[in-house]
Amino acid sequence: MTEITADRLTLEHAPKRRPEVTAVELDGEAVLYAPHDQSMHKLDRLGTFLWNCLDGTLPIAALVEDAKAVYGPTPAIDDDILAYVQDLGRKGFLVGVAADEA
Amino acid sequence: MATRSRDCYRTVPVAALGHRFYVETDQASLRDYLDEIFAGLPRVTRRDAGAYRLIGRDDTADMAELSFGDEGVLAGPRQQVLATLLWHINATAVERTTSFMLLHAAAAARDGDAVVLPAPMESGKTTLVAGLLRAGWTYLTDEATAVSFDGAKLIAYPKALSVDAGSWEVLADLRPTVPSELDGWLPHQWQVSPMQFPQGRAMSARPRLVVFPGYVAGGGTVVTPMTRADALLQLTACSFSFHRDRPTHLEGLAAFVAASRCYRLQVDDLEDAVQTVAAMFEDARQEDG
Repeated sequence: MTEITADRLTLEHAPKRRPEVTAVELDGEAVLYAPHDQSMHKLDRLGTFLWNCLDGTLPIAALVEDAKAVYGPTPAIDDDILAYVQDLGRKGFLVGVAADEA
Repeated sequence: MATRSRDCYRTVPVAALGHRFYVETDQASLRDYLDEIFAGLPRVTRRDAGAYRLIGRDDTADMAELSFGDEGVLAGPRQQVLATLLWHINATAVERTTSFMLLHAAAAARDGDAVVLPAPMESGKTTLVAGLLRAGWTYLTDEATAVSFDGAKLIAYPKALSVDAGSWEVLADLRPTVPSELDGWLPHQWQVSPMQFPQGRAMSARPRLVVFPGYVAGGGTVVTPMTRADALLQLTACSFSFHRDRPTHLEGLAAFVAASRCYRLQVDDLEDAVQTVAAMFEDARQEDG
């Protein structure tokens, strides 16, 4: 599969979390283990909410609407959530999105 | 009771987690000393145990030799050789224990519930767990806490507490009594048997409290609550075994943390630290049931 770079993700994309990433959730925060570089990451509540939604069926625009419903609308929520998902892509957590070189 | 074979004295065979061993030595007083510091460890049969051989050199009074199975012979000053024996026992216990997750952590228990103190070396975890024992807690370990893979149970490694010189003053009442003929053997570190505490040791416990201790001279006592996710990240860095199977360990340690309250604890006074840990522990038990 050809991978795109994270900055090319748009609100129309429907990202999917990589199945080989191990994620555990504690009190609304997720800790992820990425086997491709053996790195560990903690996601805050918003990040954990997004992670749980990244099943490959929902475009990022829909995630924005869902996040507004849960966390309330904020001025730059569209950009914030897009940036958050792009960051997950850079860290190698998304199918079809190339991780940044270490 | 030791068995004498030719000119060798053997310690009682014991288990340091997955490492079963005994020591053969030509020094009766050294055998007795080692039996005392190994007394907290569960006994095993000799046929299941590997043998260390610790022999004083005949050609010089200050030197000794240590061997274990086929691993070759270390020869050197007696203090260094005995220190190496104690190090090798711990290292082999970690290496051979694969049926549990292993945390670089001290631990103590009260009524079957445990406080776990993960920290790197020189962080004060042995001193703090010694303080807890003096306050009546039962002993699990000062070095390696074994956790079941479902996170629900802690298994003890009740080795002798290894107390560095920096804590001798604050733990002066725990100073071990050692025969003078062993002066040339002993490293600059006390080995305090847990059996000297009347409450002894526990062999297992349930997780209840995770406290990451840190000593800061003059810094006072500062308690900082941690999210369980932050504690989990910190624990993966305090695990001897995480590298063996990261996904399985992540899930197991998450289960372990989920059952616990988690804090950072900055201390500069042992009694304050013990009282603070006890208070956090009681709060956790009362609120969580």
